[in-house]
Amino acid sequence: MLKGSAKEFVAKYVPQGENGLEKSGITKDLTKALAELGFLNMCLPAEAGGAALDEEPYLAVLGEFSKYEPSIAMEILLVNSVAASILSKFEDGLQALAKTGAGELGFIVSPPSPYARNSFHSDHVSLDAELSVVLGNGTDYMIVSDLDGRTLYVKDEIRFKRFPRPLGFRALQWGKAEAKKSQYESVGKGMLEEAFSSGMSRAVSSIALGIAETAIDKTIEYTKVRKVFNTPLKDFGPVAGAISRMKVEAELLRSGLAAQSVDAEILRHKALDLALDASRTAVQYHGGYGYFEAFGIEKLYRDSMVMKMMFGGVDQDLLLYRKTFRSDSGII
Amino acid sequence: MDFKFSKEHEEFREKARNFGKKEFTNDRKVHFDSEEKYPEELRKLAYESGLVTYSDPWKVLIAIEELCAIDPGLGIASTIPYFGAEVLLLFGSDLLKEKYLGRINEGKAIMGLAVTEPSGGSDVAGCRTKAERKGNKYVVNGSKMFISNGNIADFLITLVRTSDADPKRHHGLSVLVIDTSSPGFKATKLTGKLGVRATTTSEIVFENVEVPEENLVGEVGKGFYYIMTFFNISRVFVAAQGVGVAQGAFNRALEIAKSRGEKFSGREDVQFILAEMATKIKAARTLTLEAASYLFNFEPNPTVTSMAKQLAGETAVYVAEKALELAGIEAVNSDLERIFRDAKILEIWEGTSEIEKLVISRNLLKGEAF
Repeated sequence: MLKGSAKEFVAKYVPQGENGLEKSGITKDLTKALAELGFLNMCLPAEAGGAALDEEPYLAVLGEFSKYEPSIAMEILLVNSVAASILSKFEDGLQALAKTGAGELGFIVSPPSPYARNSFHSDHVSLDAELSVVLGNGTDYMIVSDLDGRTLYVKDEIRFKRFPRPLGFRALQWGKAEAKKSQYESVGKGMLEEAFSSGMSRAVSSIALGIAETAIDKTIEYTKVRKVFNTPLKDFGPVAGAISRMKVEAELLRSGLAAQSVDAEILRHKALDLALDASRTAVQYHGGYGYFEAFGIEKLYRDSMVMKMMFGGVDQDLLLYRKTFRSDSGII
Repeated sequence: MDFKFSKEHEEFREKARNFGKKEFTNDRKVHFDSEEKYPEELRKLAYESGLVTYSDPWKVLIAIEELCAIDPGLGIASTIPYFGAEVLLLFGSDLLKEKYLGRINEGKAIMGLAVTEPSGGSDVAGCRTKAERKGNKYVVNGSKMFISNGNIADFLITLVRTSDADPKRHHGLSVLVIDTSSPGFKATKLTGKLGVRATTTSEIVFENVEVPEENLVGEVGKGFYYIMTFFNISRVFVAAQGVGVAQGAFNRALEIAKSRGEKFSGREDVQFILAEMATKIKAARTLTLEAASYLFNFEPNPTVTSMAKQLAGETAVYVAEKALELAGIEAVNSDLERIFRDAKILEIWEGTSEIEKLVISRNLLKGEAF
C-alpha cells in the first residue's frame, strides 16, 4: 500500500519532465504533504508521534520514491534514519523530531567526514561553527559532528548559504552553514558517524537500488525502440549483455535486501556500485538524448555519484573490510 | 622514436597553460556552466593569443589538452570554432576555401559540422536530410540533431542525401556548405545538458534552404567518405580532450590527497587509486600522440585513432569518478563535480565508445596491424 502511495504522491506533487523537482526544489508545502501522508514519521518512535514501523515498509517506500524522485527518498531517509537516530535520545530532541515528522520543522545535517573543512568554537552555553557542506530540508535546526566526534544538536542562529547547482539530489537544500552564538546540545560521541555509516546501510541500499532499477528499466525500454543501422539497440550483443548482467545483479540485490540474512555493508557496497554503473550505462545507451535533462537519465548518473561520494568512499570501504576480516583491516 | 616535444612545443604548452590559468577564472567557469552560455570573449582571446591555429596541428592538440585540464567546458568552447574545417581543407574547392576558411582563419567567423540526425545517432549512413538539385542550386530539407556550434556558426559543413540510398545506404550522400543566414535555416539551442555547458548544441531544421551549387564539397555522392575521413582526424583531437579532462581531474585528486596528509595519502588503497588513474592517463596520452603522429605525417591510422579516442574517453570518465570518490561529499559543489559532468560526453560524441570498438575490431579482422 505504501509503495502505491509513493507513486501516487509523485504523480500528484512532482512536476513531470525536465528533472521533476530539481528546479523548484522540495518546498515546505511538499514536505508538509509528505508528512500528512505519513512518510516523514514512519520510523520515528511513538514518543515523537511516529508510526514506529519496522524496516520492511520503510525500505519499500525509499526504494519506490527513489525510482521516481530520489531527492524525496533522501529527505525521507534524513528524517527517519538520521534525525530519528540522534534526536530520539533526549527530551528536547523528541519534541523537535515530532515537529519534523509532522513537516513543521526542517533541518540540515553536515555529512560527517574527517576531511570536512569545518571549524568549531564552543563553550558550555553557545557554539560558533562554520560547515563547508550541509544538506537537508530546512534550517530550523542543525545536526553536526564536531572535531572531537561529538554529535551536536544546534537549535538556533543558523545561517545558510545555498549552493546554486550542487552535483546531485538538487531538490534538497545544499549549502554552507554557520552557527553564531547558537544554543546547542551535545548528544553523544560518534552518533552521526554511526548513522551515516552502518546505521542506515540497508536504507541507503534501497535508494541506490531504486535508482539502479530505474536506470536499467529505462534503458531496456529505450533499446527496444531505438534503432542504429536499422536494428534495435537491444539486438547488439554487447548492449544486451551489459544490460542483462546489470538486471541480474539488481534482482540479486533486491532479494538480498528482502532477506535479513544478507549483510548490510555488502548490500550497500554493491548497490552503490550498481547505481553508478547502471546510470552511467543508461546515459551511454541513450546517447545524446541521455545527456539532456529532458530525458531524466543524466540526473540518475549525478545522483548515483553523490550517493557514492556520501556513502561509499574509501573510508566507508573500511567498514566492509572490517566485516570481512572481523577486525580493522586495510588501514596501512 | 622520440617521446619528447620540441622546445617550441613545450613553450607553447606553457603558454596555453598560463592562458587557461589566467583567463579561466573561477567566476567564468561557474558562470558559463550555470548559464549554459557560449564564452565568445574567450574564443576571441584564445584566437588573439595565437592558441588556436591550424598552422601547426601539434599546437592545436597541446592547446586542447592543456585548456581542457583547466576547465573542459571553456577549453572545448575556446578551441571549437574551426570544427569541421578539415573537410574543406581536404576536399573543398579553392573557391570554398577562400570564401569560408579565410574568415575562420582571421577569427571572424565560427563554423560547425552537421551530420547527426534525430533518428540517426551513430548511424551516419542513415542520413535523411535531402538536397534536391534544382537548376544551379540545391534545395535542402530535413533536420540535424546535437549540432555543436549550430546556433552560433556562420556556416555549417552539412551531410545531405543527394540520391536514393539503395542498394547501399552510404551511397548517395554529399557534403554542402550551408550559410546559417539562408532563408529556411532554423537553429534551436538545446538546453539542459549534463556537462560541457559552455559549448552550444542545437537542433537544426532546413526548410527549402537554397544552396548554390558551388557550395558542394568535392564530388557528388562522396559525402560518406569525406565525413569518415574527417572523423579519423577529429577523433584525435577529441582524444586530446579526454586526456586533458582526465589530467585535470587527476591534478585535483592529487592535491586533495596531499592536503589531507599522511593519514590519507599514506593509505595504500588511496595510493593504488592514484597510481591507476595516472597509468591510464599516461596510456591514453601515449596512444593519442601515436594516433596524432600518424595523422600529422599524412599516414592516418584509423585503428589507432579509434583506440585513442575510446581509451581517452573512458579514462576521462574513470578518473573523474574516482577523483570524486576520493574527494567525498566535500566536492559536491566544486570544480571536480563540473569535470565529472563534462567527462561523460567524451564517450559519446564524435563516435561512441561502441562505434570505436567496431572500427577497431573490423579493421583487425581485415588484417590491419596496430
